[in-house]
Amino acid sequence: MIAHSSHPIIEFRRLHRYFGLTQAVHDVSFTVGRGQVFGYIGPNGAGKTTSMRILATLDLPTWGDAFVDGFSCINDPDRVRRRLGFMPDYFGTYSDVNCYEYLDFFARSYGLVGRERHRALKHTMSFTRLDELAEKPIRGLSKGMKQRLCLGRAMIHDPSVLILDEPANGLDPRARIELREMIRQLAADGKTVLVSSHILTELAEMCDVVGIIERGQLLAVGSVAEIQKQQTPHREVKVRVIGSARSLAEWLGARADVSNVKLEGEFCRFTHEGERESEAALLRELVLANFAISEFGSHSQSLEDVFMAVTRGVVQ
Amino acid sequence: MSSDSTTATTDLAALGRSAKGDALHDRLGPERDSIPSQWSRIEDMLDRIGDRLNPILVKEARQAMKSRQFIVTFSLLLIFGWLWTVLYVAFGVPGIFYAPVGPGVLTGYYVVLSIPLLIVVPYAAFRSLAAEREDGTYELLSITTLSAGQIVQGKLGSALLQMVVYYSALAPCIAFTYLMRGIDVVTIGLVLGYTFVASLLLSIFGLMMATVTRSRHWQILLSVVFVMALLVFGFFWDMGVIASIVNSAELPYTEPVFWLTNLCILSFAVPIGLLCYRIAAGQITFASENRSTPIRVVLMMPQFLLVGWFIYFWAELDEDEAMWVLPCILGIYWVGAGSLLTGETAQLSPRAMRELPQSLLGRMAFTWFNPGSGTGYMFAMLNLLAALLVTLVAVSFGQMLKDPAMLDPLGGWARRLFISLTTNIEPIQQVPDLGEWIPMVVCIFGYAAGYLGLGRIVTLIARRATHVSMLATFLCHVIIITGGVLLPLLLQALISWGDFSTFEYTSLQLTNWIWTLYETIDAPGTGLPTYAWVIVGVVGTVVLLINLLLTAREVEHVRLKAPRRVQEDEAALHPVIAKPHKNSPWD
Repeated sequence: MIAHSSHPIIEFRRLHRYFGLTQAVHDVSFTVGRGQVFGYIGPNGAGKTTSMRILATLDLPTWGDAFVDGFSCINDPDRVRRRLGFMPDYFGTYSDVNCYEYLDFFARSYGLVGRERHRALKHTMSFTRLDELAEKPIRGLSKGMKQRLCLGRAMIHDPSVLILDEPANGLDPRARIELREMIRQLAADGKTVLVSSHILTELAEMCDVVGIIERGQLLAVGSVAEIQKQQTPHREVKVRVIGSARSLAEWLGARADVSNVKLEGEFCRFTHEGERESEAALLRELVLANFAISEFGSHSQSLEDVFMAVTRGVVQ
Repeated sequence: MSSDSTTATTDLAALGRSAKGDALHDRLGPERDSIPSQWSRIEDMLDRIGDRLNPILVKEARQAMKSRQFIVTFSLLLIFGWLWTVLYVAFGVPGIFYAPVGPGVLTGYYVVLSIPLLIVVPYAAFRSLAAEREDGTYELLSITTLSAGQIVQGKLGSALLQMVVYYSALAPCIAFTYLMRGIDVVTIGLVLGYTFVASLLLSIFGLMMATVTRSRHWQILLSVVFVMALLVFGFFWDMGVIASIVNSAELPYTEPVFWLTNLCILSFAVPIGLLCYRIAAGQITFASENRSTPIRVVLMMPQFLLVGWFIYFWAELDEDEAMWVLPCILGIYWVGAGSLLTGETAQLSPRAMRELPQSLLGRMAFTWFNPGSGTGYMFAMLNLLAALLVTLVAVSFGQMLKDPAMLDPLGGWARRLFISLTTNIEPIQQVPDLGEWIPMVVCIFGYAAGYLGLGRIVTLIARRATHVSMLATFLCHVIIITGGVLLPLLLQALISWGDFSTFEYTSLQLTNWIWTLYETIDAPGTGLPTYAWVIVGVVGTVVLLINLLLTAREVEHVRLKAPRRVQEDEAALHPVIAKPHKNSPWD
């Protein structure tokens, strides 16, 4: 059995990777806890794939190190590999091999033998819903099927960490939803998933934590709400009141935690500084002040808003 | 047969058709109990055997059976084998009933067999690994628990499997040639054996070539060059083998020297194959691994073989040329190897440093196996020195056997003791004169140490300014070694311009290792003055000492302790089972 400990399962420690004068990754540091789904976001050429490849022990950093379950990707790649499944942004399949043979080959390559291998194959094929396609040659698979097969390959040895580089790229909506469900299921099973994607709505729905990288530098890391708070510490609130909208605006204008009060017919928009709890307190005060509130909603920024706010769209 | 057993057999057949014997355990589910137990035993046994096989071999075998290349090659082999039989019999009748036509028939079969063995299999091995790197599947393989060595072994195993299949396919035809008389089993065995070794070596070489570059266009160029080289090699090899088959009656099978020569040739196939394998595995190994030490270990093997075989043949055949040629071959071998080893960098990853020798004796003996330019230089020079010393001991021993009076300066007892110990050893008649042989050996060592050391110093200086690759270091050595020959020749030619009658060896040619060695070997005592070999030896030793000083930093590396996390993991993976404590001798 592999010993478990309390340290973060993934750690980037001052990671640098230069290709000549190009800074593909520059001083990136962050950690990911067990069972988390970490979304790695950034424009093309931001350094996502490079840092993922270093974590997958496919490349060496120029400076710094990356760790998986406390093992250095530079000095203990063999131990890292036992704990890690990598799904790159290409398929990497063989000709003249069917789905079963493909997964069986990787199961053997990860040292699975006998009943252990059969169990792993059965579980993987069932999880990725490839049972019916076992005998089908890989060249005859659709993109979504291939992507499921590649996910199966990455998880065949039951790794504790999965690195998925652009897994939803080019998939149709159904395949995307299926993939998202699988990733959520893997996280529920205790796997840590580091996933990169351009489809931010997808990531927002499945990630516990996101990291935004641009020009090799990590610009923000945390949950979407945390990053949003970092970017904009206030929230936009929209209230619909029956009747006395003007008096509501005056009432709000007198408060210190409210600013930018605007009237739009029955609606009153304003900026509120504070947490959700203080928003709830404000609503209670409005009701107690006999305002007939029919709608009360605060607008939080989406991942796309956060991404646009954090990044500058500069490509190296 | 009962209906139950019929159903079970049918199910098994269905599963067998799906070629998924491995999956039987899980697929059969409840039906498993209804299968006759012998089937499950056989299936379990096959499964266990399969688990022990290299996964690459299993995958490649599955792929090969479905690949167009294999099916076409195999079919053509059978068709051409059959065609040759039919044509030879049709055109040879009635002569074949009376005359021994075995060699003629074998020639045709051999050509048919040699094409897949010498061209298709090595090229398939080359493409197999090259394609993995081109398609990105190698990256997926490299992050599994398979080592680089296992990957290369798997590819080689696949080549071996194909070779066995081709041999098996043509085995009845080969047996047929023996029935046609005129050819003996020994010749057939030798021909097939040598071709097998050649095919295996070419396949390993192909695998090594596949790891040389990742760039797609270089791979294409390499691919074309490799297939052309295989065609040329195959042509000349076939010519040689056909000549041997035709003249098989003249081969001296009864002479022990014939078999020893064959053994000698085949013994060199082992280190050549191992070296190619180590280089191939080293090229695809993760960068923080120590890739140099295994290659250095293999580099020592040809040296042992060279020294052993040359001394043996000198003693057996009583020809002293062997002992003149041996130091030259050793010098060339270690300068060649050293010019690549000195191109290494001495950066050891913490991972590699965990395995460094720790004891004083270990560090003294094995530090030179560590990666690095300085250790590479010293490794080459120490090996050359050791081989030359062994050769010197052998030549001195030969001299003493021939003339025990050599031992007189040590006292009469030494001579008597030596004679009594060597009574049963027949003296070798042709022994190199030590007075002429030692200058040559000193020159070889001096030139090797001097030129290699000089090249290394130049590389070290260049490395202060820029990155110097292994190839650049090798080229630097080539330029210096060639310049050492050409420059003095050019200077002397300019000096004696118009009158080349006096173009003789002078002290100007001291750097010209070819002429100097020629003077010691072919014109001993006539041209080379004593000072010449003394200067070469002294300069070589001085350069060696300077390089030894420059190597100081490389030998300072000490073993690093593995981090606690690694130790914990190691303990979890390989727990040490404590032996029960014995309280008494009867426990």
